[in-house]
Amino acid sequence: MTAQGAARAADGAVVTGLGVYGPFGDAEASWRAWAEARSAVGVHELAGVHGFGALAAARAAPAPVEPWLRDRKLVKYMSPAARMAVVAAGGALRQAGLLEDERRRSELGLMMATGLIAFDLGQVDRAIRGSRDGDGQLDLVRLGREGLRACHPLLPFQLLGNMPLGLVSIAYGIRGENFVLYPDAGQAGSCLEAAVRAIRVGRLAQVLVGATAELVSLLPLATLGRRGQLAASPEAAQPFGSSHAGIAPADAAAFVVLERESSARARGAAILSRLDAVAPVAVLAPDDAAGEPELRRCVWAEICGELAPVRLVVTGTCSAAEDQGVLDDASALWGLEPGAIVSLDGVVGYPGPAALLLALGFGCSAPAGRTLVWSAPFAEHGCALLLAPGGGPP
Amino acid sequence: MRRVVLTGAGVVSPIGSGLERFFDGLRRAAPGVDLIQSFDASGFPTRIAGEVRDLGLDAVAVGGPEAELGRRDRKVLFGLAAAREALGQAFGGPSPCPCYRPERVGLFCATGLEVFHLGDVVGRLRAQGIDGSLLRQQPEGSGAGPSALQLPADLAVRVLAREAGIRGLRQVNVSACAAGTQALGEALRAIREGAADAALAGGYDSMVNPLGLAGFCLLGALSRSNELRGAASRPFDARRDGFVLGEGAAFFVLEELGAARARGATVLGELCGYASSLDAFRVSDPDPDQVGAAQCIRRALEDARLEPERIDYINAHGTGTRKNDPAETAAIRQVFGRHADRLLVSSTKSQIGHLIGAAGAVELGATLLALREGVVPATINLESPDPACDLDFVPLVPRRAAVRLALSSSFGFGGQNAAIVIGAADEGV
Repeated sequence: MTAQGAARAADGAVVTGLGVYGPFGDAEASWRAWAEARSAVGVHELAGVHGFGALAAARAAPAPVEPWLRDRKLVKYMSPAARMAVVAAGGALRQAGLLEDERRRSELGLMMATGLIAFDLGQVDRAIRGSRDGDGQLDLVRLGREGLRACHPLLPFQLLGNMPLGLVSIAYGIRGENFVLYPDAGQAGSCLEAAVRAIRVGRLAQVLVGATAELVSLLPLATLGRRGQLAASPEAAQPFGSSHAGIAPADAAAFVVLERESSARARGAAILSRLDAVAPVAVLAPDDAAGEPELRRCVWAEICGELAPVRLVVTGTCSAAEDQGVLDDASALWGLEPGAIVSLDGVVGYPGPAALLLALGFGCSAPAGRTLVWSAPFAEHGCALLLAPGGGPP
Repeated sequence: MRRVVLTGAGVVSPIGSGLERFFDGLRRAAPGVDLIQSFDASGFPTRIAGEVRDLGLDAVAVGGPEAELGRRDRKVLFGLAAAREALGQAFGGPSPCPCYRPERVGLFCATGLEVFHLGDVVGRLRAQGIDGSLLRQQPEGSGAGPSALQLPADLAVRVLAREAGIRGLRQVNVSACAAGTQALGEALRAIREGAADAALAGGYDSMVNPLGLAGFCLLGALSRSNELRGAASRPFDARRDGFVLGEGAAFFVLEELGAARARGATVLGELCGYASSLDAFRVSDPDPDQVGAAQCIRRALEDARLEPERIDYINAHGTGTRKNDPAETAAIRQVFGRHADRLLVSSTKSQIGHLIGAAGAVELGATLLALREGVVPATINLESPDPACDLDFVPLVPRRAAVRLALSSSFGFGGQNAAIVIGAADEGV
C-alpha cells in the first residue's frame, strides 16, 4: 500500500491569498477562536425533522455576499454553499491583490470542490405534500402536475454541484481553466494537486483553488449518519479528546490563490506560504482499513523527506484511536510534541472538502518552519500537504 | 511530451450498450428517445427521454460495502458496466494493475447529481416535518436500504477503485454538462505531465428519474414535443424546442503511447489536446459573443499543436436549445474561419439525448466511430435547418468521410466549456 507519488513543487507554487467563510466568519476570526479555545460546535436540532435527535454541528450564518457582487441579481441563484464560496473566494482574491487586476483575474484557473449537496427540505416537503394520493403514497402523476409547481423555479440552480464555481466565475470575471470535484476533502486535495501541477509545468501562473460545503442539512447528515461518522455530542467531536468519536458537520468555504513563486515575486505579491508537496491518498476499503496507519507513515515520510515539520495540522480524524496513532507517528518520525499538533475540527467543525482548505490556510499562519497538513482518509480519500514559510512581503 | 492513447472503450447508451452495439446504433441513425418507461412520467410536461433499455441491470454486479445502495441508482450500474467493458478491452480483465503499479493508475470520473428517492421521503412525512429517526447510524450492509435517502454520486467511483485496484489520482468531476469532457481531459494531462502512467476515465449519469426530470422541467430547458418521441431531439433544427434528457455511461482506458505499444495494446485513438474555459457571463445563458467557447476550442487546438484546418469533424455539444445551437455555430465559425464550411459537424444528442455528466464521454465514443471507420454520426431529425445554424451538420443519416482528426466539445450551465481533440490510431500528430 502506497500513496500516489507526492507532487513536489520544485519550481515553487506559493499561496498569495486566503479567504474563509465559516462558523466564526473569516479566517482571522477562526484562528482567533482556536487561540482562545472557543468552539463553534454546538448542539442543534434540524428544523422540520423529528427524531433525528440532537446533533453536534457547527453552523455558519448566511454569508454576506451582496457587497461582493456587481450584479446583485445573482443572489437568487445562490445556495448557502455558493454564497459562502463567493465570499471566501473574494477574500482570497483581495488578499492576493487580484480584485483590482481584471486582466489577471480573467486568466486565472479555478479549481474547486463541493460537498454533499444540501437540499432545501421545505421544497421537498411542499412538492411531496402536493403529490400524495388518497392513501398518502407518492403519486408521480400528481408530482408532475401539481408538486412541481410548488417548487421554486430556480431551485435546480441551487442544487447543481457546479453552480458555486459558475457563480464565483461570474462574480469575479474568471475565465481560465476550471473544474469542480466532489464531495470530500480528498477531492479538495485533488484540486490542489492539479493546480500545483499546472503551475509547475507552466500551464498556469495563478489558480484560485477552493471548496465549499453546507453539511448541516438533512441529506448530507443522512449520508454521514449512515456511515457512522457523526459525533454524538460536541465533546465527542473534539479531536485528541478521550471520547473522540466522529465529526461535527459544518458549513464553510475556504479558498487560496496559488501562484508560481517567480510570478508572485515579480508582481510584488506577499507570499503567505510555499506549497512544497501535495500527495492525494487513496484507500480501498474495507481491505486497506488495517493498513491505514502504515499508509499514513509512508506518505508523511515521503513528502517530508529528511526535514522534519515543526507543526502538524490534522483534519478528518474520527476516533481517539486514530488521534493516538497520529500523535504516536508524529512523535516517532520527528519528535513532535502534542502541542505542535493541531486540529481545527473541534473549533469550526468538519466542512467536508473545505476542511482541507481551512487546514491549509491555518498552516499558512505558522510562525516559522515547515507545516505538514494531514487530511485523514474520509470516504476512502485523503491528502497530505507540505507547507514552508513564504518569506513574507518582498 | 508524453503522448496519450486510448486502448479500451466501453459504452452504455440509449441506442445500444456495449461499444459495438452503440456504433451499430450510430450507423443506423437509430433514435434512442421515446416515452419514459422507467417510471410514470405521464403527469410531467416532458414525458420523453433517452433511456437505456438493453442493459440487464440485474446482471451488473455491485461489490463492496455499498452494494445495496449502488443497486438503487441506475447511473452506478451504467458506470460499472461501461468501465468493465473498457478495462476488459484494454487488459483482458478487470484491472490495469498487472501492467501498471496501482498508485500510477488514475481514476477520473464525471457524474451528475446525487439521487434521492422521493418514495423514501414520503414514508417519513409527518403532519409537520419529516421523521428523521431512521436516518441515524444505519451502517452500510445492514440491510438499511430505504433509509439511505441520499445516494452520493461518487459511489460508483469507490466501487470501481476497489474492484480494479486503482490507487492513483482520483477525481470525481461534477462540472455538469462539461464534466465528461473535463474528466477525459484531466486524465490526458495527468499522464502527459507524468502524474500517472495510465487512467480509467469517463462519465456516468442518469437524470431520468422523477426528481431529475422535475428539476429540468423547472429550468424550462427540456423539449415538450412528447408526441414526436424519437424525433423530439432536434439540434440545429428550426423547430427545436429544448433538449431531451438521456442516460448512460462511457469509460476509456488511457495509456502513455510507448507503454501501450510495449505491452502490445491495440490503440483506438490518440488524445491530442484539451482545454477548458469559463464564460463568466450568466448562469443559464451562453455568452452571445462566444468568447469562452471559442477560447476553449482554440486552446484545445493549440494544446494539440494543430492548425484549425487539420480538423475534419466536430462532435458538437448541440443540445437543441434555442440559445445553445446558434451560439455554438458562431463559436465554430470564429475559430475555424473559412474552414468551418468544410468541417463536418454533428450532434449525437439528436439520437441519445443529453446525458449531462456523461455527455462528453459518450460523445467521444461516437467520435471514435468516425475515426475508426470513416462513418460520421448523423444529426438526426435535422429537417429544417435554422438559418443561424449554417454549418454542414450531417443531417439525418451518417456520412462516409475520411476523418483523421476530430474535436468534441461540451458547454455547461454555469458557463463551463471543455473541448478535446482526438486523432485516429495511426495519425501520429
